[in-house]
Amino acid sequence: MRWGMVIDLTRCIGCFSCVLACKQTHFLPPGVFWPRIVIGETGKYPATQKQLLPVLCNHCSDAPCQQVCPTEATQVREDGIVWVDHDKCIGCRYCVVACPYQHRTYLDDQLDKEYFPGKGLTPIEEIGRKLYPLQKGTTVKCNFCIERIDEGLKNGLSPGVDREATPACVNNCPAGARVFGDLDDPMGEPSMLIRERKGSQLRPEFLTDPSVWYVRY
Amino acid sequence: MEQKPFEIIEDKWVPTTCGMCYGMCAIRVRVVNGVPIEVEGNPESVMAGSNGGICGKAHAAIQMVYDPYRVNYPLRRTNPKKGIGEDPKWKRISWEEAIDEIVERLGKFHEKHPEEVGFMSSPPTGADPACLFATLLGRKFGGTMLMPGPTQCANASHEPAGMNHCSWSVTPDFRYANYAIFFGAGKGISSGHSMVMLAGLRADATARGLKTVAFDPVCHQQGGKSTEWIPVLPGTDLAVALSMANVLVNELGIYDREYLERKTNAPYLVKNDGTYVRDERGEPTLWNIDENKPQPWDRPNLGNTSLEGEYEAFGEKCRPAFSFIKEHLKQYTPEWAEPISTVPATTIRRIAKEYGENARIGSTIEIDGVILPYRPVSCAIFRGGSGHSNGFHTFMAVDLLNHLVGNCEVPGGCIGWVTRSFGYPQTGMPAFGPAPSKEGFLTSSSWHRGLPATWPHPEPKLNTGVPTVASVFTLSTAEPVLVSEERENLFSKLGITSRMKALMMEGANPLMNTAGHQAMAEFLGGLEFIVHYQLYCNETSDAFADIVLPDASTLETLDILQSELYHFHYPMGMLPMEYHLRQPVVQPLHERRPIREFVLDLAERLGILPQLNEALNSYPVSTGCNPPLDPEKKYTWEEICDAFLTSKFGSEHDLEWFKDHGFIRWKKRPEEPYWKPFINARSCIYMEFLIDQEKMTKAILEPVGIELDWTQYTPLISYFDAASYKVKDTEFDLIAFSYRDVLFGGTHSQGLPWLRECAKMSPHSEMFCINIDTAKNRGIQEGDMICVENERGKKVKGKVHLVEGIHPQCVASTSHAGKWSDSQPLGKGKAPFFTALLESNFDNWCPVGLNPETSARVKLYKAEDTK
Repeated sequence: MRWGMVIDLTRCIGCFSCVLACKQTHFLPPGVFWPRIVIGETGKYPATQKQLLPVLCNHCSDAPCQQVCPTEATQVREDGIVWVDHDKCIGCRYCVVACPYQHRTYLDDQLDKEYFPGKGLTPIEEIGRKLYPLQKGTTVKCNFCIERIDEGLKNGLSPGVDREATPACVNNCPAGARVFGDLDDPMGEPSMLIRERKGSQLRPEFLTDPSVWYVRY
Repeated sequence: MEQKPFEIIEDKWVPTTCGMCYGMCAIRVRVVNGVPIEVEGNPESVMAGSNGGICGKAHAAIQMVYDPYRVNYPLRRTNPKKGIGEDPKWKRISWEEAIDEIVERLGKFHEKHPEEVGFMSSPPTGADPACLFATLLGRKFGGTMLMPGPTQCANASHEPAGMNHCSWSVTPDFRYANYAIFFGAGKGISSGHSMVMLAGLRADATARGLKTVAFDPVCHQQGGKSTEWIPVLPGTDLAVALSMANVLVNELGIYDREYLERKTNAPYLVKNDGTYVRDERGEPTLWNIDENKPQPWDRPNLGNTSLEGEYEAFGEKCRPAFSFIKEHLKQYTPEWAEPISTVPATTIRRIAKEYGENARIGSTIEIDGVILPYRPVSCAIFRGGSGHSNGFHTFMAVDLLNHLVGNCEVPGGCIGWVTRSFGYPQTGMPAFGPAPSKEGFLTSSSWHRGLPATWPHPEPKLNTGVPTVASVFTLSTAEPVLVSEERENLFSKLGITSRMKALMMEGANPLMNTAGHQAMAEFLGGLEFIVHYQLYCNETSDAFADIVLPDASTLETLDILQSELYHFHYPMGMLPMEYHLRQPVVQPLHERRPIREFVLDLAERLGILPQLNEALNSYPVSTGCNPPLDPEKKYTWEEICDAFLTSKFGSEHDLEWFKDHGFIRWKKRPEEPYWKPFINARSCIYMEFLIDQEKMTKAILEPVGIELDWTQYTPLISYFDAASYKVKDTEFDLIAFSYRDVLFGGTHSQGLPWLRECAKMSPHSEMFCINIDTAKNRGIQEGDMICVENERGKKVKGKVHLVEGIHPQCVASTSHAGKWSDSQPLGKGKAPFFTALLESNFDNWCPVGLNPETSARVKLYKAEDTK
């Protein structure tokens, strides 16, 4: 069992739905993003191609962030999800430096910031502090919507198939660019996509073995 | 002290529709303890993206509910001075005070000169709801519609799309398409136009091998996502399309003869003076090859008709229109188009060949037991291609590529938004559809402004009693003259003494979104009284409004009008039909009030409620309300929504049912989306109507010395330079243009924090873009502050982003950006105010469709202030 995601770069239209779906699901404060989109281009004019690269924590099986964590706050679960136990995190930020993909954010004063500066917290932010309490002085990152997965499995649902058990960024992509499932299942949709369309991981030379894969036509 | 655990009292998902742009997407909103905290695409609906996906804008709708910069109470201007930069010194007033003042001031006009009151509607909650305010209330008041033609709108595309497709716009039928060409059209990529539904369909089609080709000056949205990006100079798509048509017809001989004979006016006999050969009844005729004689277009068994050859009919020498078209196209070789458009001739030839070969002319497909023509290729055009002073011909030339291969309203081809419906099976409602009309052409059963037909076009007439020349330019869906620098000169020459004196605006930010914004400022500054119903105070209201009323946002609004005809209302192609309710997920905060309720109150106070009720009964034209609303009764908006719903879907599907279910769905029959083979009516590829249109328009304008480029009133689709190419000063060596951004659906959402955060990741959203080589030649580096200046000395500053993916002769930025109002501080100063570069006058309007030119000839230099 290893949860993973395949992102189809041909499908992605760069609408930022994944970025904002995550923001609203995890009530992330200003300036904090778990998924992002890197926008660039390749090729000299006129043979130019725009490149949209949605990125998120790669949930590496050989995760440098986990290896450097002095308190075992960052853990790699048996199902492949790399997560942070905020009660154990001491905010040393070693993991922030160690992540070769720069996907970790240290929560410093972001939680003190309002989305509308000087205007107080909106009811969304207020309720978010209660529904999804993030802790100042700890490190945060994408957790593959771990709560949805665990709660879904408890209720007999299949992550990647049943919406309630599937990461928000996957559900909200209008172009169906994200597929989630068990990478260890050779007949699962992620494995088939990777196999049939020659999927690749980001920067394999880092030897971290990411659980996020990319395909394109 | 131990903190009390948070208690969830209520946790529910509410189905509704998004209004962050006019895409009309289906969403559901999670509400916890009365607070909307999450927006998703509605996974039950096909009007969302893949598996309930939605775009980024929709998520930000919840931030809009609680945005502290929203207008929350009626406001009155206390600073009598108006103008850009003046502090309005808003003072909170009560709703009663506001309505009393509006009724008193409008009442005076209503008694004597209602036409002096303008009604303008560009609601930030989607386009169709505008109909209640502007079309129904405004018309019943006797007011004048103000439709200046915003610069992000493809005004030039609407009228011909209506004429030829009975639709507001056209798109590939992605489900069956194999090859799709886009001329400045962001279908399935950027904002508006059922965006996420098309995004899902487009992605699925691409996965199974759809090839997309984008003729576009920038490799950003459609250009950036298409299989092949072909840079083209803005405003020269016309040259490319004409040369492709030439290659198809004269070099490759690829065209759908049967379709052209039966579904277009290609076989209509035309005399050497360009007019049709008509029979005794005045109807156009065709040449019957079998009988070797002319016959009227409407004879039951048409037999074989001729597309080419010379004939004599009714004593006149003549040829079929297609014969003229074919000959006319010969001048437009790819070699001719290359220096105009910069697209290599070899590329034009290759694309034309690929397009023609993929069309599979003659092939059929069976869908649900119905055999239909199968043409899996299409050409789509929207603002980027047609937003120019040659816009009418550009749309027609691109659409000619569709008609040549016979792909209109058939599987895989070029289709409009839903224009035919047999209705919900149990009630037969809503039923609407195209039908044959005068001269054999198509007409729709509903069209914009509540007009019933797309054909024939109204005859140009001068009405000196109203402050607009909309009745003179009847091939336009906009009337920019009224707010332009041309107004006083033209009006005084034409003897139009009436002037607009008051304005009722719903949404809209015309000061930022109209070409010639200084003339717009003068116009607004000259009005006695302006009421602005808005979500936010904006540039227009701060500078000129007298009263601002607090609108409710999409998530605070009950509505059905977004599901009424004619824009982007229903699922495309063979996706099942759906009719959605928009409902409040949270009650309007503070003293915000949905404008629908205000319209009913205002109509009552002005004494026009009976007329408004009657208008609702027949709106939109064929589907309205049955049993009808009692004209004398004052209904609540809820009651009206309920009446509309039950009259369409039966008493069991009332408002309460829709609140629970969100929408109703039923299966389409193939004859609905793919109606062309079943309607005995034709599209227009030879614009004979322009001959009369020219005569009638000329008869009004020429005697007073107004000259237009009358050459564009030619029946043959022809090449004309766009206005930006008429500037001869070589110092102005670049073409500036703008593109719609996927993150923003208008100026109103520019201050939403989530969208602004994403915009920082998207350099195209906040900066001017120029080609790396262009920058190098001018010593400009990434992030420099540059100044872009048009030939009239109008300057726009902005930071620059250097890319390979833009035509080296261009500079571009996003449209509807560059806010300066303190009322939305988070959106202030973000991105260049591109629209300031555009002019609005006869030199810059399409003489046929009055489309404002949306590109400008400019020079570009490093700004002294490089901060």
